[in-house]
Amino acid sequence: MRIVYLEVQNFRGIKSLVWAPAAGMNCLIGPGDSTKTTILDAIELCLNPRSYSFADDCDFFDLDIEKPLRITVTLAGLPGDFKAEDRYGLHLRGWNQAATKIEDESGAGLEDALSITVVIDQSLEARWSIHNDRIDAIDKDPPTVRYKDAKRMGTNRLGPYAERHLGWGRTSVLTRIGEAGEGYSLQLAEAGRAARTAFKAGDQGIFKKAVDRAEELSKLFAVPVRGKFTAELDVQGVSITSGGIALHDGNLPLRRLGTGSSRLLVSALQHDAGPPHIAIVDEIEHGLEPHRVARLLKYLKTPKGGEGAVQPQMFVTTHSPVVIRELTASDIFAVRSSAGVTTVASVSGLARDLDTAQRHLRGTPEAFLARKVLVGEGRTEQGLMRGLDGWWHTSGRDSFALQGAVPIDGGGKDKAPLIAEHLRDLGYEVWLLLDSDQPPNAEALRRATDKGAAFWQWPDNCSTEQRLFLDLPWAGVRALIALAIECVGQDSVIAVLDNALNAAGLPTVSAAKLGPERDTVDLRRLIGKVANDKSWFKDISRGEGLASVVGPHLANVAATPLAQGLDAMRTWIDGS
Amino acid sequence: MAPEVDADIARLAAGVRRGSIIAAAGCGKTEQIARAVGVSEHRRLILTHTHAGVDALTRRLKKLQIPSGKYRIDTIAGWCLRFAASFPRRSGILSTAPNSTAEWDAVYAAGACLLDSGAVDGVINSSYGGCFVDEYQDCTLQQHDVIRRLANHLPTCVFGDPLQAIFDFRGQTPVSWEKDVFPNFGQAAELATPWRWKNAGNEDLAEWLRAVRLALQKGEILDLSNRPSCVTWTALPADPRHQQATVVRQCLESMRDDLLGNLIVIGDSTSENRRSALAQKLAQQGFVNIEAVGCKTLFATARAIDGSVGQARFKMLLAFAAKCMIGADKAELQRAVDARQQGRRLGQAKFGDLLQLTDAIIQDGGDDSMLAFLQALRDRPGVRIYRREMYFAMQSALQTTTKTQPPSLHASIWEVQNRSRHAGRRLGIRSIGSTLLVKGLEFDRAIVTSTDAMSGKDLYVALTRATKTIRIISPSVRFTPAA
Repeated sequence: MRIVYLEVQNFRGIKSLVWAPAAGMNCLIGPGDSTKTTILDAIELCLNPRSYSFADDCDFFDLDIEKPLRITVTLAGLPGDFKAEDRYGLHLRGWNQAATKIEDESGAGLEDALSITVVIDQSLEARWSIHNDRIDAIDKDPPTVRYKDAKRMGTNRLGPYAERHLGWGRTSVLTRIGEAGEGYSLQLAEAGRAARTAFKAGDQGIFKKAVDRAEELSKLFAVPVRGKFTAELDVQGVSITSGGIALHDGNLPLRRLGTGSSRLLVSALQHDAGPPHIAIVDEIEHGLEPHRVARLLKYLKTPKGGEGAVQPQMFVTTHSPVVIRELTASDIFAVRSSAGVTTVASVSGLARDLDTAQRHLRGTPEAFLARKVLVGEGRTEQGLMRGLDGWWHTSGRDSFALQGAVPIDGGGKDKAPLIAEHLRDLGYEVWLLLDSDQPPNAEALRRATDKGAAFWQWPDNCSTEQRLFLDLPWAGVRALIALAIECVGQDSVIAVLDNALNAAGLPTVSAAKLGPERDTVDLRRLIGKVANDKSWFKDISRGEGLASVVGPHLANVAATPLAQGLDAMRTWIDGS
Repeated sequence: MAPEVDADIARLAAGVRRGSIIAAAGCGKTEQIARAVGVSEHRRLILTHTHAGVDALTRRLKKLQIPSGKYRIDTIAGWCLRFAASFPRRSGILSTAPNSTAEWDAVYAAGACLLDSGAVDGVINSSYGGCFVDEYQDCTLQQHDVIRRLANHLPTCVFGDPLQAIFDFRGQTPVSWEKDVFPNFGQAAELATPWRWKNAGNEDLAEWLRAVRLALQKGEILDLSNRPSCVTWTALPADPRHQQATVVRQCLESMRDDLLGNLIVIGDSTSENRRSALAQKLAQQGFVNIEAVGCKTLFATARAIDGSVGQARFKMLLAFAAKCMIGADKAELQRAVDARQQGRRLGQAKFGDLLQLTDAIIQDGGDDSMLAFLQALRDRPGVRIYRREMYFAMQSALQTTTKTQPPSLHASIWEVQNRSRHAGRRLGIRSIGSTLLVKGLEFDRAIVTSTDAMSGKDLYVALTRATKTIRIISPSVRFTPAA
């Protein structure tokens, strides 16, 4: 079974949501408060009917208890017996995968599907039922799912802490695996008796005073004493239940394992136990090192039945670039919430082609975890932006992280507008920084800006390096050259500069020092070109170094395009 | 029985992809279906026509201890309605509470449409591994269209007997075995061993009925002179005025038979009145009439009572009572009621308390007062009810509160009759009915009145009801029944 459609109304932070999840992995990403976890909770609530209610007023959107919360999950890939007429066969609906649409009645070319609804109104009582328009039209008391079948629909949830599953408690995965259920009741009862016997054999003297006094007083108040008062172990008091049986390694209970290890083990057990269940994992990376996350993801994505078997459906949230990098684009969904309306967009579905999406994810996974993305045309721009973040932060401004912004490498003049467009489609705010020595991908840039991406392009047909050399005070220019020397070595910098100056018919650096008297626009432009051509700063850490040079000078050159551009970027970052 | 032969046929039925099995009366069709279900691998859908049929099949399956998970029994009508109403857009169903023949035909058309749509392929294949249809000769063409489509999804074997195809379809077209059934469901086998009589130790009758069947199938002359000793023949006078007396005589004579057991008098299929007249003549002897669910007298009376008040209403009710029982003293009672309305005391001594009950009917006309009157009348000495089913239907209807506004007795009757359709009927020791009413039922003894109008199929149904003795009353001993 798999979820083909999810509809949520008035549940916690979600006023409304409709979403058609993927058949396999659904990894939800998005900024905080984008209701990712609420989506997981909605699925879990709907597919795990229980006899007691646990809702409270906070479960209603905006705490408005007048509007009932309603979650409808539509399942396809139903087992044959679910489709029998005396089960749910006459309530089947039709799932149109191509149009991602439910038709109320099954039909040719549609996949048989069954909708389950849970409704909670202000009585806080949850009512689960089978849902379709036909039932609603005729029935005040809609049909429900049998208890046994509900167990088969139930989800597996792996929470942040997994110890519970390392014992034989009621809902533990271990209980589901074995047939221990029948055998251990007797064993537990015997353990209880043994405990009593062992206790009796111990030192009764410790209790003697209190026991004797109780017996005396009983006789005084004519409470009949049939034998003799003793102190015994009351088995009910120290309850020996199935929850007390736990997995041990030698004498050490496995719950003492680290968070990561226990979660790893439990998710593997869940994946392995019985028929496949829809799995829900909140913060899959929690407690795991990158290589273990990678291993876990690979394991979970492998169908249980081996090659060709159906991959179990999974709903996962993450804040980890490692997870994103390990998954494919079609596994990842960006969640956005705006005024209560939650949208879930497929990262691959919105890319112009699957390769693009995949490259974006592998190349810049962290972008997908932010709210705002600064797309630099290349690594120089990305490095500059990152460096400026640090410089601004030390001078008392908000960090990019606080504003939910991340600078990324757009991968060149052609690709950067494409990634900007893709990110816009997925609901990210985007600010694109382009240089102008070569024209960028105009068509993609137009689409991106049409979709609301902000962008800045340096004037006067120059690269970012040229812009820096053009706009900084002369001292800054010299500092940049010093930085280049630090990065690529003195000989190399001087050699390429001399070459270029020579070719332009100007005195070389070796011949005449770059004193302020040599400050001309042409010279600045020329050095900038050399810096660009020789990739002095095309590296994230070098780019970051740039910022330490640029930052202190910015205030002095406020009227230059460089300062205006960076100011525009800062304003965008600080905007809402 | 010969179980080895049975097992073969059951296995054949369970294995056939599309086929029909012809089953002569009393040849163990129900048993075969039950056994075939038993040897089927998956769950079977079993469809039949009446609720009585559903009951009979269910009982047999239980008796053979076949797990209930191996079958699902329903009427064709019920199955179609349930499925078509569950997928209204795919089936295009119009009415989910059909009443008229036309509305039911629309339900079958909707069922066929649904099966064509592909919407229920998954449900059908998940629910059943095959289908059996019982009493196929009773299918209308519309029902046949549904079964044909079901057979596209499921291995299907239909059971029936062309020679028992008798109808009161009123304008509907029954299936033709040659034109409709065989081209879709080729004959897979024929059940020809008359177990019903063999098991009753009546080999003679078994053999004779086999011969009668052959003659009727071929349309040959039927010669009753070479009949076995358990079958008697009496001439039916040509003059209709003397006919009833002859039948009554035979009925009275039957009460002195050596072999007793329940008795069915099979009379004129076309006239409810003539059958009830016979029952009235024999009421003293405990003969009662079997009524059709759509009993005309009952519905007509209900409508007349709904449409009248006061004395008129009482008159209708009394007329109805007199049609159900002998000893009602209809004329005398009516005179006494009329006199009481005028303040005179005529008939006071004879009818006493009964007259006070009539006051209530004339004044408020309520169901309770009508019910009280009917029951008081029934309890009077000398009263015998000979149309029991009709009387008790009225009694139940008067106790039923309908949801219709204004309350309508007609609607109550409809409800009651509908319920009895599901419940099936309990028959007395001596019953009078028609071939249509006794189709599928079994008795020890039968008195069969065969007029010239009786078809060969009607005659076959009539002759195959009794296991021990048959009295035939017909115009001549050698005749060719109508087609």
